[in-house]
Amino acid sequence: MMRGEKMLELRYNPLTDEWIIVSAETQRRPVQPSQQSCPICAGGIELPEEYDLVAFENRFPALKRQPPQIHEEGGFFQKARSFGVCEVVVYTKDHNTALPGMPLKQVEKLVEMWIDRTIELSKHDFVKYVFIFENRGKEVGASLSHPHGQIYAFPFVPKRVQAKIEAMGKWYQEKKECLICQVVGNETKDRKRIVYETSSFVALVPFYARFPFEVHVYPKRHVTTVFELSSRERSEFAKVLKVVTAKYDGLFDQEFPYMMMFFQKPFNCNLRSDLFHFHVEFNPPKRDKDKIKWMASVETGTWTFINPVLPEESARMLREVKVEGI
Amino acid sequence: MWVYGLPFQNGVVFHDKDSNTLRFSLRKIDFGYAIKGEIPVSFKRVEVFKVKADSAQVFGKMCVVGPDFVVGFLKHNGGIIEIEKQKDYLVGYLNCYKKGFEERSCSEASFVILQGCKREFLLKEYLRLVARENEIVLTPSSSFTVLTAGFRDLDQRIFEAKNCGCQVLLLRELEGSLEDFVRKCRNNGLLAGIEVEFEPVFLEKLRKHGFQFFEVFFEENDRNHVEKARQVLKDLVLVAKGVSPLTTIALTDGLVLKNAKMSLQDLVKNSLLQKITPLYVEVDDFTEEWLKVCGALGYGVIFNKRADKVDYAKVSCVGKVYAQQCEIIYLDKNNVHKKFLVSKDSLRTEDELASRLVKHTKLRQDGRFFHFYDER
Repeated sequence: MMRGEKMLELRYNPLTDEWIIVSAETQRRPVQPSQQSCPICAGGIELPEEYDLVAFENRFPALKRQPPQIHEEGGFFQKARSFGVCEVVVYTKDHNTALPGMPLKQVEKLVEMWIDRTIELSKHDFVKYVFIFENRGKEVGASLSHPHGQIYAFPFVPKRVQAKIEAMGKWYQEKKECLICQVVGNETKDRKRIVYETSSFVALVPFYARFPFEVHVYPKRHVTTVFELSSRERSEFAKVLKVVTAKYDGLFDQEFPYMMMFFQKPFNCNLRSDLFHFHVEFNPPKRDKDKIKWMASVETGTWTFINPVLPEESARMLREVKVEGI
Repeated sequence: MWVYGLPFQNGVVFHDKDSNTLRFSLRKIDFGYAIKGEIPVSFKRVEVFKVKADSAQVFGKMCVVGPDFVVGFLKHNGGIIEIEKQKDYLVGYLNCYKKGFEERSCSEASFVILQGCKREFLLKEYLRLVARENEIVLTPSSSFTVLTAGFRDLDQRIFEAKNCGCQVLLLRELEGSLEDFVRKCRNNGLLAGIEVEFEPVFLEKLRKHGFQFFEVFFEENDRNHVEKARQVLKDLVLVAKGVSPLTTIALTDGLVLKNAKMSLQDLVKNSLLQKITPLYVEVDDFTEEWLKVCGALGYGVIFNKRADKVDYAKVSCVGKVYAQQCEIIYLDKNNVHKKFLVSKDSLRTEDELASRLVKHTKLRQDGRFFHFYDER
């Protein structure tokens, strides 16, 4: 490795059959700078020009379009080059807002931008998975308070996504119907766990919630990616995201931290992808106003979650939060 | 050990015949079974599978699709795959006795039986398995649009090709100066293409003339021939004609579909094969609807008589292929989200709202791309 060149490579973990990204670059990311030094405000170090919405390649990426060569190939352990793209997605030029407070029209534009980024990134041969996400709040490691999310275009299908694909395939084989289509049908009849519903989407605390206030957003129509949504569905999707995040903020009357994650079908590979039902997961780390649900030994080590709040109860609490002016 | 009187070892059953041994193994897969056979060449023509022909049809010369089953070849190495209708049955064969196979002692052929779901799903699953078995990963199609030409109308055809955005001019006659044809194509920014029958020595000669695009007709559905053509043409564009997708898999840059009387719905149905190979259609005459479907589904188009512009979609996905009406959802190059509803011979467009954003991309000095989005 050249002097000064930062380590960036994929390492294969044979114990769990998964890839780990080793990236010394990400250590250099700034942590919660003030508005005066916000790098993604207009005039900041990253964005000296005026803008409305912007997506750009991360200065401190975990994956690169042209990653460095890897060293010590052919040893006992397996390594690979870190092909991929890591983008920062800036939602608005307004530093002092967030998804729930943004005008609906701006969120609709954001949905359009996510769609275009998904299409563009999926066109790279090396990209197998486009993962759109937002870490909101320092509780989940957000390094900037300016409203933004990120996109990781992975060169492999991440383990948990593989698990979802396998589970959806297994369900289809047994029931001859899409898993999420059936969940949507069931939940909209039962209504115990519904948080918010439109004609094309349902937001609910899933029966199988891992986090106390976990919410999933499911399109009612079977679509495999965000770009298959029709124009009307896109507008409704924007509204649902805004309502869910506004309900979160209203729950304990505070800026509610969350991890928002989009799950869509993989690209450029031969996994069974037609069965994948696009959806969004909100995983908030809070279990009460001032209490955190930690990802501790059981959760991290075994992937087994202990949810201290009954999903039906958290759905009721979220449902009862009134949101105005959407 | 023996099972049902046949030797069995490491999951493989052995069947001896005339001092030769046929080996086969069965593996459970999702939605059915995969069966792999190793067949001595001396067995000549082997019946691999046989299914009732009731409501079933042959798809892509490689599988039989029934209302709730798909039986099809997955991979073959040596031999020629054939599917024939015999009275009330459709029968899949592996033919090992053609000339040129004497050197081999064995051919291999695997096939799958998928059942218990709707045929639309099973067909997609079958093609996914074929792609996986043959290690094919196809990115969105990058097919060419092609215009045929002769020597007499060359200048007119060059003008037409450029006007319609065709990238290839395809020569269909040999009585003239091939050098002139190649030079004129290159001078006009077009790829020089030629349509020929498979003949390795002749292909080599044409390659040396500077042709860059080859539409090769193979008389036999023989993968060895396709392999040979690829060896001769190296990295040049090779589009095959007359063979099954499984025969060309991973060897060619495309496959021409026989398009005689292909309905719009067949066009949609056949597009499923794009999971394993880029597809081309040849058209003498066409309608606007035809070209719209070709553009939405990423078909390469070979215009025989007159050309027109094909607007290719950025991405597309196909809904129910076997239903009375198929649905194609796609994003055109301007990010306009559209929907086609295709029945047997008609197409209805449901235009949806265009994206309200325009994008400007900047490349910073440190090599990073910045994509700025704004309202139109």
